[in-house]
Amino acid sequence: MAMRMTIPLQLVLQVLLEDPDRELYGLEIGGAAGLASGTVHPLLARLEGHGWLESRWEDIDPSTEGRPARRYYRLTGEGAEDARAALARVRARRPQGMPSPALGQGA
Amino acid sequence: MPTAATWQRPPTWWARALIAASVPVLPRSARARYEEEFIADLYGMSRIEQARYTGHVLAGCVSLRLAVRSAVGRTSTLEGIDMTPRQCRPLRCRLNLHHDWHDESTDNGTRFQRCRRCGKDATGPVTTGDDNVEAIARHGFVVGGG
Repeated sequence: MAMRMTIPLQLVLQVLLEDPDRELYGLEIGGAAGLASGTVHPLLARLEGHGWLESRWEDIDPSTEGRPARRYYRLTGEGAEDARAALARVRARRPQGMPSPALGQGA
Repeated sequence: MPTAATWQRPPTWWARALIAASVPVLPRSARARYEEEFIADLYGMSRIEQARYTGHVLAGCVSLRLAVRSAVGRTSTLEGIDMTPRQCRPLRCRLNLHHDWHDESTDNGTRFQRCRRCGKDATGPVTTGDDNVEAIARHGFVVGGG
């Protein structure tokens, strides 16, 4: 089943592409994209399945940080290139006058 | 010697229970991971934020299940991504009832028609003058009674 370049997916990719080397956790990505966790995590799972995204557990001592380890996500090198290309193709196909989805204004 | 930090506000019992109730929907191999991930996200949230978060997790758990299951065996290719911004398409375009066609050309000069509103490309012979052929190419069905 092909993954559709929906508005929420475009927003998530925009957030991740702002700094492809930076690791973000799910709640952080959702906050920046303006999306709920129920929307973000399925998208992250799909992107991870496509090899665009990699994730790992945060390497911390919970008793020192005062919270459990978070799951951090980051675009792979190939994923970042493909994500840029995908967003560019969507923008090229977008009808004239239709604005790009803006971060923080998702569902 | 590191000192123990004050623990952030932990999730309430009902938030933990709702997360625990939502993860059995997921494939067995992914349950522990997502339960830990969701619980970790809940730390430091107010009760209202926890209620909102767990509600969204519950609402999205079936979608997450489908995503996790479809993720197995994927490869990284652009071919797997549908580039059409489908949620932007107007209803009449989505139903294929009406498109706002205009002429465009490719890099090598080939002319084709594309809908201004949804970006759909017209396929097939669209300028034959035959109403039905044109209608089939544009709309996917025959117009008129013959």
